[in-house]
Amino acid sequence: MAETSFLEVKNLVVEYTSDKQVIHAVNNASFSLKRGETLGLVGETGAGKTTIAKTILRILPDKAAKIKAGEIFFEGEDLLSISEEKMRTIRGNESAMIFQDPMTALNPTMKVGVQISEAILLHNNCSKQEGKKRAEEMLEKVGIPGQRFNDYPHQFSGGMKQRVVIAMALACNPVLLLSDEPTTALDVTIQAQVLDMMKDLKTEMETSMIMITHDLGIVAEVCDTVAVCYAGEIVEYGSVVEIFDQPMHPYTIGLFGSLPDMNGGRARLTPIKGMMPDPTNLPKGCFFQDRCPYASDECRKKHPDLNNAGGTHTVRCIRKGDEQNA
Amino acid sequence: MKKEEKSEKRRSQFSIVLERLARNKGAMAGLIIMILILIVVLFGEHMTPYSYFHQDYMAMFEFPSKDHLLGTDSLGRDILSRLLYGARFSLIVSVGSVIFSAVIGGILGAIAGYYGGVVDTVVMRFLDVYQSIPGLVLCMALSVVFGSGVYTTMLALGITGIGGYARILRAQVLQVKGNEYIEAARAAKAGDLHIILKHIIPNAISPVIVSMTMGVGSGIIAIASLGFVGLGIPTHLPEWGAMLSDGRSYMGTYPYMVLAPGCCIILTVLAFNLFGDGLRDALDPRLKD
Amino acid sequence: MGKYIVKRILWLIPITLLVIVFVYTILFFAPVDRARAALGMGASEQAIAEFNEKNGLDKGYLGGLIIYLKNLLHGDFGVSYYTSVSVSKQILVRLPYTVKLAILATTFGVVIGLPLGILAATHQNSWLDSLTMALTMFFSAMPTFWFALILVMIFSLHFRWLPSVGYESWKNYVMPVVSIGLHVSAIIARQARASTLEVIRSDYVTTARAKGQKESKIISDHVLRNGSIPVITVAGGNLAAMMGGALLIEQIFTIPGIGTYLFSGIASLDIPVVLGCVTMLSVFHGLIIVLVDIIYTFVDPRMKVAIIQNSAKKKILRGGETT
Repeated sequence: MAETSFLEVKNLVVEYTSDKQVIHAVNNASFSLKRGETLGLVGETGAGKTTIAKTILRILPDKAAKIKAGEIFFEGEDLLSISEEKMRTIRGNESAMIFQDPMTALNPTMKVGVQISEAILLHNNCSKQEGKKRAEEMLEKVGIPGQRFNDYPHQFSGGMKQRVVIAMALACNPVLLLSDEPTTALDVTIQAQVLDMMKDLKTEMETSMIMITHDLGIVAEVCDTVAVCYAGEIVEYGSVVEIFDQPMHPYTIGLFGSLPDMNGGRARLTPIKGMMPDPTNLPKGCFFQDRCPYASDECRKKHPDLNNAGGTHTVRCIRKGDEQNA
Repeated sequence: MKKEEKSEKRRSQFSIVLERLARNKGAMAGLIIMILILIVVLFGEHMTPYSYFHQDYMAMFEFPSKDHLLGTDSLGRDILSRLLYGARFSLIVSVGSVIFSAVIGGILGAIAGYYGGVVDTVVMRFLDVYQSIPGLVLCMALSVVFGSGVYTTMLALGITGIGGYARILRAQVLQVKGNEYIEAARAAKAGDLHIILKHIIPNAISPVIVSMTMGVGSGIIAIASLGFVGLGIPTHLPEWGAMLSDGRSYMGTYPYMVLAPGCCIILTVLAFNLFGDGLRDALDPRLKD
Repeated sequence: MGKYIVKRILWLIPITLLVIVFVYTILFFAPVDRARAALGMGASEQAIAEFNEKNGLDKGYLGGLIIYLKNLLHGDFGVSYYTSVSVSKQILVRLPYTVKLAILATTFGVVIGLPLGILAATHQNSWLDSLTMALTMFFSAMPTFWFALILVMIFSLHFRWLPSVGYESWKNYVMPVVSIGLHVSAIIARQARASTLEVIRSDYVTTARAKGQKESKIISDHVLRNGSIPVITVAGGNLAAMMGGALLIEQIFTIPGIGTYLFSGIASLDIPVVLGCVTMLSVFHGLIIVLVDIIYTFVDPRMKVAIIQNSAKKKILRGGETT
């Protein structure tokens, strides 16, 4: 396992402090990613997905957020222990991020082309003209005419802005791409276009990707492996086939239950009852206990470990592999 | 987000604001000074050994000493006594004028924002006029027209301040008006007055309170400015700006005559500004952390 | 854009007219006998009647207003009740001093305040930030005219380095400019800090960080421009207010600008003098606001669209959301 995975996150713990309260955003999260593969990081809002991605790039707000523990090995190097200068050569170069909201991710007073070439000039020893040329190429690659180099973000539609953001992230041919819900802010029709384009570019550039999403449809379409995130920890992990064929954690099952089924004829959606636990006051025992239909006394006492469930499939539930297979 | 919550939640919101405010050192310092000033305003005349108008021709231009802690002025009056007595003019006039501006301006702005159309246009043009005349100029003109006096100065200052509050309230009302719960109240056939009083005002009030707190500070400066040029509070009363103006002629030799009133003004204004600043941060904590 | 500017400038005409009516109304109904004030208590009935006729005071409220507006149409601001000197001539002679003072003080305020505010924001919660905030708090609570007196006390009366009255040499302008400028810089520093903090938290700054950009370049390329946008409004508004608002400072340093003139007019309820100055102030104010809008379009490309549509402007200024 160690020789093939080029990104490995181990026992990551991240906390925020706000108004003297400690928010436990990421609790002991571990997962790995093989070269060329796509990992889907799935979970509802506030599950800590974005925090994990930002921790990998080390772009968390430095005053409010603290990385309490953990290691992140990227191509054999622990990103959490290297210097800030070294980290800067990785950011935007070997590893880049696509942000959720294209409306706010672009600087409103800077030409989009300049924003793309910013990364190119930073990481490549090239002249301004060459940077401009490559930025124009990137624009063309995401389906925007190169002449629009000199336009400002407000002159683009939402979908076009997200293409610019993608062009920006891919400008230096990163080996690892972190996509934070890249299509959530877009219209449904545009979503498919942007997603298809990302898939094509990813294959063309042989990029590995972490796809953060709450949309299981996107997972099925683009991911190879899935990590289900709940209250800042990974509750289930496995290949797409394993997770989709045999979801084991009650939360994952719940996620599928709240998905409209086009061909199954199930009349009603079954939403997961209740809310995620307060991240400033996580319960003892399993974090999912209050919403879990199978919760027992043991679940309230002991925090479950990740248990192997055959193959690469692991699940953080004491009931793993029991009757829920039916 | 805080807007949709019910009264129970609002109460807890209120206690959160108080808690944040209590943790703000600047705001608390401001509050303490404000309380001290209030005590001076209420009991100032009983706290001093001399009355503010007592003239002692044997003790003119005395430097600060045991008898006169801050010295005496050109007529041998005890400066400390005068300053303590003078606090009431700055404070009462400023607070009174701010309340006047906020009530009149607030009503104007709320009406303009709520009804829109012609009413709004008329009020907006009126505000344009307000905006193109510097506040101090308008205030001086009004104060000359109304004549000197405590209430006339309050009125002059109060009228000058109307524009700002009208603007704030109009903007707030426009913002709040677009919310769904207003539409819901309308759909439930609630009257205009009911909607304005029960829904719009409570939601628009916090920037007004912050602005009023700061307004007291700038009001005190305005009163002193008027006093400095001989307008506003009658000159025989120990208003701080007038005392500054008195001391100005002698400041080369007797600097304390200018320093002392100035420090009083700064301290008072600082107190209100610190508290207002803290209040704003507590009500809108986005910029903290 | 050009059409828009012309429209905005034409719009100043009705506003200025309203200003004139407003101020005229306030002054006209003041309980004061202008003729006796000008001619002395012992003036004859005939002299008083002549005075009133000459100054249009016998025509009543509306008549006087119409005469004034008619004369204004010909560019005639009238004459002072008491000195009979032409108001427009006085304004023209005095304007350069006031403009010089206003521009110097505002420049001083921006040059000191903007970098200080940005530094405070980028070093939030450091000692530099606390010191800046404490100083700006202090300076914004201090009356400028009091500070001017303190400066005079130190630099004129004690050290005798700078002249306390007069207007001929650059030395005369040091203390007036500093006393107003420090106050302005305090206000600008606080505004710059607040808007910079908002920009630093924005998503596009995180984006720049994710590109591997250096912190110093992030500040210079991304934060500076966006953070200084609201500062333009503050500086512009201040410049406009100072065209007449430097009244006390002009008095203290005996600078023969608009402020001293306006004050003498107000104190004696000299309607033509006050109206002339206020008209000029209101036009200046309007022009400066238009100028500020034009500067916006250079700093923020969104503003060109927003200003012309004249709708989303406030929204952009407040947050930066462009939905």
